[in-house]
This record gives sequence, C-alpha cells and structure tokens, in this order.
Amino acid sequence: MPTSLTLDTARRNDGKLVLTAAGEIDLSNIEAFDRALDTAATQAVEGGGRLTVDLSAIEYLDSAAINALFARADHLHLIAHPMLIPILRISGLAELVTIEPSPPTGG
Amino acid sequence: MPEEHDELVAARDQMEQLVRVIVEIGSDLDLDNTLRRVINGAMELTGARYGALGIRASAGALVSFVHEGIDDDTARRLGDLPVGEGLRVEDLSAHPHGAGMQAHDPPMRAFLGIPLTVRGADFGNLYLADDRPGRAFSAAQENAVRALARAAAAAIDNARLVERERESAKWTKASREITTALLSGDPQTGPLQLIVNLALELADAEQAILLVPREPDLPAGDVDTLVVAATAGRYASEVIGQQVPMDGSTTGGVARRGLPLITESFQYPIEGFTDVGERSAIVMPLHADGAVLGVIAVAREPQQPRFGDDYLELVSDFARHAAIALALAAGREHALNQELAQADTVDDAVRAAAEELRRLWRARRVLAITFPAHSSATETASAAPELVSVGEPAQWADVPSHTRQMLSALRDGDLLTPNTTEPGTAAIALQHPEGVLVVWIDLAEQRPFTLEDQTLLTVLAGRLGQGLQRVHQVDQQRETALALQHAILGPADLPHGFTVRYHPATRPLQVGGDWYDVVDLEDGRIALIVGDCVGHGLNAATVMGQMRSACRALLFENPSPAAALAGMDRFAARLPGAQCTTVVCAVLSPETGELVYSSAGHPPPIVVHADGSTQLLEDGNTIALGIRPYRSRPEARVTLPARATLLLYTDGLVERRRISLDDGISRAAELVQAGRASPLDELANQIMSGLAPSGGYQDDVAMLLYRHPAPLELKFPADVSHLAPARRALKSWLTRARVNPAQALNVLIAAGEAVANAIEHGHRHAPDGTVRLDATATVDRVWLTITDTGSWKTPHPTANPHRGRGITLMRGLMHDVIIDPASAGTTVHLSARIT
Repeated sequence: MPTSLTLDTARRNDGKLVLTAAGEIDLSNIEAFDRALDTAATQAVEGGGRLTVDLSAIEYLDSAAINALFARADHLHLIAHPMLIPILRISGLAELVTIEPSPPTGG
Repeated sequence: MPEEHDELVAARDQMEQLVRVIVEIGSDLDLDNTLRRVINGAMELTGARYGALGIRASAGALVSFVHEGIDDDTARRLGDLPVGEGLRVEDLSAHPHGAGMQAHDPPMRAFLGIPLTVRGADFGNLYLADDRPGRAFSAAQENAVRALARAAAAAIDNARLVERERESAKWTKASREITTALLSGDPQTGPLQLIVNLALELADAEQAILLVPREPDLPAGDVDTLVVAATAGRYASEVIGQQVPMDGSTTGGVARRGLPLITESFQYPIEGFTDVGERSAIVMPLHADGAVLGVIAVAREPQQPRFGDDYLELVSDFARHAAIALALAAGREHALNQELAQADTVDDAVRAAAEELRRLWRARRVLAITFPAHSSATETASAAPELVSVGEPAQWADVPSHTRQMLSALRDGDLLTPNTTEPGTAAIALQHPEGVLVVWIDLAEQRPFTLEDQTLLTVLAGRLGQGLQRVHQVDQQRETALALQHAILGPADLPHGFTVRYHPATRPLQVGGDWYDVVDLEDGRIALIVGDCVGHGLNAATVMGQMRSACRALLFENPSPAAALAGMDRFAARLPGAQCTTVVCAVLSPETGELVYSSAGHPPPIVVHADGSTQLLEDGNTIALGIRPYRSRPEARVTLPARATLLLYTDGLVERRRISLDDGISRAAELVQAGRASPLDELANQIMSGLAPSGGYQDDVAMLLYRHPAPLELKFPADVSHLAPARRALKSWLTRARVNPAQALNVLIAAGEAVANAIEHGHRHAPDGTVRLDATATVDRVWLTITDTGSWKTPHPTANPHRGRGITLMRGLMHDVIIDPASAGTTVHLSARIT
C-alpha cells in the first residue's frame, strides 16, 4: 500500500510559488516528492524568487524528505506544523532554511 | 681317676648334648615345635621321664601346657608348684606343696622346675619330674637345664614373634580378601556372611555371629536393637534372627563404645550362643565413619586356648577393614545408584555414570560410546557414534584408530567382558536401551588394570546396564506424563504481553490444583483466568483440568465472566472435588484496556498504575464455586490505564502462616509497585522470589501478569510498501500507551528511520527478508527494537541522496540508540522517556 501524499504547485495571489504537500513522505514516495520539489524550485528560481514549501498538512516525513529539502536549501522557505519543527531543527535544516510554523487550524 | 674321668666324660657329653639340643631348638620357627623340642631336650639332658612347659599369659597365670609323658591334669598340677628362681626337690612326697602330685600313679618323686625368662618377662616354667624311686636331679643337671632354658627362652621368643607375624599376615590377608570380595559384589555370598565365615576360620573358632542394627541408616546414637544377621559354625540356624538390645548387652556395649573385648560371659542371652558353655569369646565392633554397621562375636570351644590379649589387635584390624569395605561397597553402589536415580534421561545417566567411574578409578578420562542397535560395525566406520567424554574433551575422530577398532569390535562381542589389551586401559560393553554402550577407562597413571579392577568394572557395568534400562522406562513414562500435565495446565504459547509463573506444591508433579489461562476470544478480546481447586497433588490436578476446560468452553459460548462463572458454578456442584474452587475471570479489550471481571471467592486482582497508585479489584466478587449453584454472579468493570500492571494470582502466592491474607496481598502489591518499571518477566521473578517463604512455596502457586497495552509485535516484508501500514500500527499502539502526539511523532520518525535502513540496506540482496518491530511500554519509557535479517551498512549520503541523516535524526529524537550489527542481522534498540 503506497503512502498517501498529494502534491500541488501553485502561484499564490501574491505571486509566490508554493508547493503544498499533504500526507506522509517516506521511501515509498520520495521520488515523487523529489521530482515535484525539483520542478517547483527550478521554476521559482527562474522567476527570481524562492519556493515556499507548505508542509502544514504533512503528518510524517523521514530523513529522505529532509535530504531532498537540504539539496535545495538555498531556494526554499518552509511552512510546517509545529510538531514537525523539532525534527527540522534536529536535522540542521532549520539553520539553512527559514521555517514558519503553520497557523493552528480547526481540523 | 676313672670316676673323675667318667664325670669329665659325662660333663663333656652333657655339654655336647646341650649344644645339640640348643641348636635344634633354635632351628625351628614354629612355636609349638619349638616348645616340644625344649621339653624333649630337657628330658634328654636329665633323663627325666616327664616334662612340661607352662606358658604364661600376659596377666601372669599359666594358660597353656605342652607336655610329654603325662596327662593334662598332672601337667596342670605341676604348674601349682612354686618354681620361683628355680626349684629342685628330691622327693615331692616330703615337700609342703607336693601333695597334689601324689595323685599321680605312681607318685611323682624327683622334681626340677626352672623359669623361662624372655626379654626380662616371665614367660613360663619348664618342669621335669620322675616317679622312679631313687632318681634325683643333680646340681649339674640343674645347671644344664638352666642353660637350656636361657637358649630356649630366646628361641621361644623368636618363634613367638614369627608366630604372631604369621597370624597377623593371615588376618591381613583376610582383610584384603574381604575388601576385594565386597567391592566386587559377589552375588553368591552376602557381604555379612563372608565376614563371619572368614572370622570363624581365622579365629579357629566354634561359632561366629554378626549382629547389625535392626533399623539401618539410623545415626549411631539412635540404634536401640541389634539383630543377628549372619552366623557361621555351630547352631548357625538357631542363632540367626535373634534380637539383642543395645542397652544391657555385651554386644550392644561393644557397638556403642567401638572397642573390642574378650569375655567369657555375655550380659544378654543369645540362645544357641551365650548358653553353649563357658568359653572364650571375642566381640568386635564394625564401625565406619561414626556409624555402627554391626558387631561380630566369635567363640572358641571350651577346651581350646583362650583368646590372648594380643589377639584383640589382630581382630580389630580385621573388623576395621571389614567395616570400611562394607561401607565402601554400600557407598559405591549407592553412589552409582544415586547418580542413576537422579538422571532424568538416559544421556544424563550415561554421563553421570562415566563421571562416577572416572572418580572411582581416578582415571585420566572415561569415554562412553553408544552404538545404535540398527547400525553395523562397517557403518560405524563412516558415521561417528555418539560419544561422551569426561575428564578430557574428545571426539570420536580424536580416538586413535586402533582404539576405535578395538571399541567398535567390543560392541559385537560379549557384553560385560572387560578388554584390557591396551595397557593402562579397560573397555567393557554393556546393554544400552538403544543399542550397546562401550565404556573405555583410560587410567591416569600407567598402572595395570588388575583382576580386582576387572571384577569391579564387570559388576558396575552390569548394574549400569540395568540402571540405564530403568532410566529409559522412567524417562518414557515421564515424557508422557509431562505432555499430559502440560496439556492440562494451559496454553503452551501465551498471547503476547502476558507473563505467567506456576509452581506446583507436590513434586514430581508439574501441575497442581491451581491454574491460569489466557484465551483469545472471537471478538478480539482476551480472557484471563486464574483459579484454585481445593488441595494439591494429583487429585486436585485432575479436577483443575476439568474446571479449566469448562471455563474455556463457557467463555467461547458467552464471553461474559459472570456467565462463565455461573456455568462453572453448576458444573462444580456436580463434579466431586470441585466444590469451593475459587476463580477470577476477566475479559480484556486489548485496544482500550477495558476489563470486565467476576470473582468466585478469589483473592482480588491487583492493578498498579504508572504513577504507583494501587487498586485492588474487589468488586464483582461472591462465594466460591459449587456451593450455591444457582446464585447470581456479579460482574464489575475497570479500565486499565496505559502502562498499568495487572496481577492475578492464587492464595499460595500470598498466604502465610501467622500473617493475614490482607498483609500478604499488600506485600504483593508493593512488589508490583516497586517493579512497575521492570520488564514483565523480570517483575514476575521479583514477585516470586520476594514472596517465597524461607523454605520455598509449600502450596500451589499460579500467577498471571499483564501490562497495558500489550507490547506491539510487527513482522513485515522488507519492502517500502509496508512502511505506511507499519507506521499506522505503531501509531495506534503509541496512542494506546498514552504517549503524547509530539513524542509519538518523534518515536514514529526514529522507528521509521530504523525500518527504512533495514529495508534499504539490510535487504538489498535479499528481497524476501523480513523486518521485525517490537515495542514495549514501561512506566516512563517506550522501548523499540527493530531487527532485520541482513547486514547493516552505515548510510552514506553520497551513495544515496535520499538517505544519510537517519542516524542523526534517531539520536536526536530518542534518548538511547543502540545499533547492534550481527552477522545474522542487525538490531536497533531505541528508547525514549515519555511524560
């Protein structure tokens, strides 16, 4: 059973490119995440900006996902659920990437 | 001149005669012959008609006479004459002490008495007498006899020493004979019979009897009666079996003091022995290691010489040897039998016997080789037989080929026939339940294996063969019995997360009246039962088996504790021996920790929460089973919080004399509380040892432990597609264990890293590999173990761009990370404190 993950890249009203991921990221779907991240990051850099990766709806990620994020660290801004922030900090990613906690949601 | 000449000639002749006699005397080492030569020599020197030699015992009285020409009585009467330093009388009829000699016909007239002195001790007197009128002994004759007496004394002394040596050698030889005979276990003659036979023969006696304690194995001080166990000589069949009290009997006194004595009278009558007439008897104790093994009494005929005191020493030595041999013979058999009795299996018995044989012969090593019955000697060449080696480790292949051939040949030869062709070794074949056992003894020192050794080996090998057969039969019965008992007692494989302890009161049974049971119900819940039938031992166990099965069946029908107990109530009322059975039955929902329970007069289950607070489950309780079979039974509910520990037990665990049951229950609760952070198995040991009475449990004990939630146990193929389901199972377990969401995520990620590593690296070349994930919660920690069947490779970031930060992450998220790479697979241990 593949791990559920939805990926959506869209330009927000303010013109920023945002990759929204929802679900879980692990070895079974890391390739998909990596591809989406690569495409979106390239697109953002070409547009002269950074890519915002919204991980608010990510319930689980492992070091494979963190490695993928490390690879484009210079061009990323992250939004993550507060529970994920310790993991991003421990991995060292927080030192290279700006991370913004997601606002608490009703659901 | 002619007279003078005659006298000179006579003196010279006398001197020649004296020298010849003295030389003759000294030429014989036999005491009896020597004495006779002395008398004959003296008679020759003096021309006397009668001669006698009185020999003094050490006490001073003349005890025996050797005489020539006269009868016993006359010789004895001669002994009454006061010889002193020498006495020469021309006519005894005129002598004040001579009256006794007038009884002789014709009356004695001339008398010459000369003392014999040996090494300064008065040994006896030499008497010469004549009844012919006009005969008298001259002063010259007296001098010649004195010279003869001195020479005789030396010769007698010499002969006496030799005699004693010979006698002593005889007894020593007998002692050796006894040792050999007893140790080889001669089946023809019992050891006691052998001892009396030898004692009778050696002491040249009329009767010999051997008494033993009526009850063997009692300490020396507690023996109160002896019984005649073996007899030899006269009246043998009358004397046997007679009983003699220890107190107030001569034999009892000897047994008690351990000192031999010579006597002519016995305090306590033994029909056919003490009433035979006044005669000299010697009574000797058989003592070994402070134990009274028996007493030997040997009696001579009244006319035989009395036992001399010097005899005591000889006889004591013999008795000591006999006692030691008796004790040894019993001990050796005992030791071998003991070893065999303690062995549970034939293999154990073979090993124990090999060790016993090695000890016995102080052998360098002993090999015991089992050749199966169905294989032939040629097959043995290819397949190594089963070999046990004690003393030094050895394999069949290590044994020199000529020895291997000899040993292999033995299995096809005669059983119980020692083979000593290789110097310093002995081999023997004997019956083994599965074929032939060949035992090979390799002596430490290169000493020959003597005939005695061979006899002993044959006997012991014979007993070993019988012993192995016995062990084999018992072993088979035991296995059957064990299988049945275990089938009665409970599930061989408990569902995960439960720990039990069971201690039956009655050995060697492995079940008693107590039981435990853990039953997976169809609705996913688990039933826990602990019960206690009245009594212990076999009867209680058979009742227990039925009650336990009834409870299972009732629960499958209706998974309600109260309903199950109500059914058991009616069942117990009709089953003899089942009344008053107490039982507690609980049904657990493993997801929620909800517990529904009902108790029939059983001690309350104990719940200890993670914070240490303790709760006794005292609700839902009413009377024991089978007393009021239609009474309604209550049911109660409780929810076990996460990391709480549940203890179900029988009263054997907590009930002690002089201590109230409540105190016992509190004590058990304290132990659970103290061990609530320990793994369940450890906690179970702590409870069992913490509550054990000083002499060990005397009652049946059953105990069942559960900690909520039950540990997680996952096994899945090493493939990325199984990552998500495994994560979900772990997440659900962490929720049950009440780990807060943030900590749960940390645990999930750390575990995910370990699993990902196992999949990626452990099984790159083994796609069929599996991964195991185990998780256990204790009071303040979760413990995870991730095991794969491949070899761990330290992840390298450049090798795979997706991996490489896993270990950093694990170490950052967990309190302890231990990676244990072994050839069979890698195990990762993770643990985290939880709040």
